[in-house]
Amino acid sequence: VYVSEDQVFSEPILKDFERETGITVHAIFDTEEAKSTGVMNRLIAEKGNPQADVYWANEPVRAEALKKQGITAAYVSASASGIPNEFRDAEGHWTGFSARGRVMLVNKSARLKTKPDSVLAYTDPRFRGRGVIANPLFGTTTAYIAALFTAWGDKKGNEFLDGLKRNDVKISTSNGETADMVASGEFDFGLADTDDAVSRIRQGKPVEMILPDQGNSGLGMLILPNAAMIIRSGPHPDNGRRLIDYLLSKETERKLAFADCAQIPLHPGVATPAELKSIDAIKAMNVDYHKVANKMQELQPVLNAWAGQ
Amino acid sequence: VSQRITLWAAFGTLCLIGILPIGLMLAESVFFNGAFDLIHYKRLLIESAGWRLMGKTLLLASLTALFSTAVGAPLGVLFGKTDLPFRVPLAAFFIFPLLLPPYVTAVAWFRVFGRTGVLYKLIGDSASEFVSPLFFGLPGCVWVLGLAFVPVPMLLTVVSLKAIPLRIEEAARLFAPWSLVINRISLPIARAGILFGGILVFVLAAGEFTVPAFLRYDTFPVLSFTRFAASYDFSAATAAAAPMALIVFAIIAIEARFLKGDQVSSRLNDGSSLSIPLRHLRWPVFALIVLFLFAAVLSPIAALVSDTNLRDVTTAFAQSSASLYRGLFYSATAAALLTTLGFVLAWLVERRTLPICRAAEFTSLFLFALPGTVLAIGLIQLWNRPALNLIYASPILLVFAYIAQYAGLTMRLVRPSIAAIPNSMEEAGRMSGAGWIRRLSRIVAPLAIRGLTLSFVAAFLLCQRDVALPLMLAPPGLETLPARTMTLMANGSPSLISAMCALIVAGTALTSAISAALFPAVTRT
Repeated sequence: VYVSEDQVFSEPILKDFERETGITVHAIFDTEEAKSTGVMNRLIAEKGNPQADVYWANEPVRAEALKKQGITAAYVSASASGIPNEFRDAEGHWTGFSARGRVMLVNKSARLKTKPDSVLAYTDPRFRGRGVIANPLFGTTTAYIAALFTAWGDKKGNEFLDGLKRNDVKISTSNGETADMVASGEFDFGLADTDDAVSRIRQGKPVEMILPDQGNSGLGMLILPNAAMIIRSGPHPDNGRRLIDYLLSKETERKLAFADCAQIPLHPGVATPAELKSIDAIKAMNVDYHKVANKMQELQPVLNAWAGQ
Repeated sequence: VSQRITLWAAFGTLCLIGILPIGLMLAESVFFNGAFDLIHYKRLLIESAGWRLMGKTLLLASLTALFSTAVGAPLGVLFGKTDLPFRVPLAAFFIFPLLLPPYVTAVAWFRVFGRTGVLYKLIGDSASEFVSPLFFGLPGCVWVLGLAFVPVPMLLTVVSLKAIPLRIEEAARLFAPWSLVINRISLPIARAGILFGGILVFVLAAGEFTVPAFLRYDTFPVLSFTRFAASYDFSAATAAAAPMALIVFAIIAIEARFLKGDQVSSRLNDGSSLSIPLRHLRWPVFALIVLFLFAAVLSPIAALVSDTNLRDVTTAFAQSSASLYRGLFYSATAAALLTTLGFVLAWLVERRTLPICRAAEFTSLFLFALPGTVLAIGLIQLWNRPALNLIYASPILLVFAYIAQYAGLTMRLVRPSIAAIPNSMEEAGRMSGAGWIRRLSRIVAPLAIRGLTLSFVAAFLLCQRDVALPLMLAPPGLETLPARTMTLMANGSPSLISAMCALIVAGTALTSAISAALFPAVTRT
């Protein structure tokens, strides 16, 4: 199994699967710096010689890219029943579960007159030099930038990227590091995933989580479910399918909701901790993951050039 | 015949597992859409980012080499040439950071210099607000890497000073005080060794990616790793790695041409040398060194260990003991093979019986200096084929990578021991009818046992601390502890990460202590 979801959250689920089924799982996890891209590129490199049966992605956008390259195979699990269609590939190449949102993490002791409650705070001169964002070449930040380009169009998207530089926004290596930087007071705010934010809050760090762009005219918060997919011609397809069934189950969603990653269940009726808003109570960004995936591929040279400037 | 076959086989092994992947990787990178095209290299030349990052890498490597040498060479003089009390245990403490994965050292220093670190607790906001931004950048990288690599020039200074023939310094002492002898005689003779130490630090710092990535200082290895991880284009990633390979190539060539570090090893005497009496300065200097040791080595480790608790260490051990044992097994296997290969290569280079001796020396040192990420990308490109799954899908590929990366080091460590064995002893064996392999195993190996043991221990510890190679090459579920710690850093609780780093520190300390205890017994045998 190749895994982009943080090891600290995904490994206990895989261990439970081993215990309950007797099937041994050998996993490779991404580092925080190469989040979602390290093992994904390994899957691409191994297309003609697949070593993995399952890819547990931490977002569905790169799953679309793998589908386009013919690396995944279709599999519609019975456990997926109840998961809304917008979080599933129409052809069954990937299925979403346990979602995260992109949130603003703000240091409570930051001396800010207004709170950064929109992604546009990054380009607002009032917050100059106070924000940090993870490297857009990696992880959910790439998907977020691609979603912004899809929603705004290229012109506004490019202006936003230029604005980040102009406003002296610092680039961290990962969302986890962004959360640490904000928690330690190095920066006042930063965009991270809900699991990064909740884990810092539960660690007692002086931070608060703000759902961005929730106003009437706001874009909404980007929701990124995990995505499970079968690798075409993997060595153990039956065991792979059993793992997918397990990952998509309500029980796994419940565990991930109560873990420190506090992920939002996509099945209806799954118990959640009190601080977790249900998917219906959030103003979500209206995205088509397929379009975002295409935009992400298109943006790769732009982001490479932007990151290298 | 057996001699030629063995020597060619050793050189061939190095080429097969080290040079062939790099060559193949470079060859594939000059094709685009099936036709010869240098587009990736042209892009690299055009991109201002590439030049900027190259400048930053060279600046980091130069400052780190200067810092390490400025600290390491005087320490080497103190430990190798004076009667400083407790100099052997002190030297051992200074060597310790070199045996840890550099990012563990960076995490440890973060516990000191971070906004909520030890410095903040001791002095408050004002100091940490000033120091923390410096730490996250070039000064922090130079500090962390410079101190981690201090043992390299330190040890080479000790070895070079010990290699000076007794009679030269004795003669000089008849007419001049020690200060003059050291400045005019000893240090100029030892210069090649000390400079080689600086060069080694330069290439190690230039190839390091975990510390610059952690401290957010972009360098070329970070670019090549991110290009490999983020881009879908392997050829572009190779092109991004090529300038580093070229720099390493140039530096090793310069070293081979001008410094001739081999002269130092071939002069190695029986270890007897004059010692500078510090007299009334003995204890004040000792106190200063202990103070520096505490500030530069012990304080970050103490901060790291104090950041965790017994429960977390127990949890970390329960969750990661398999990775720990696995790493020990891989490292021991690789170290045994590396010592054997290093022994044969050292004999080849020292005795110069085949025309490939210079090529063998150059190749092994080139691979040693090459960033691990570059080597790993090459190995994946070469071995990732269904017919080669026995190697690609198993830890064998990781062991291959260790061998390619560290053969240059084991060769260098065994070589002085072989240089010290007179040719006449092998000649006597030959006259008695012993074949080459028999002479090598019955005469040379027993006499070179000191170098062989040192080589095994060094290779074992370096394989243990490696991060880049297991991170990229270990098969699913078969990672080592440093690689596991690196992947768990994503949202793992800080105290658990500290506990895992503490486990690495404890494992390294234990292995080093066992090695130090066994070393005299083995070499006596």
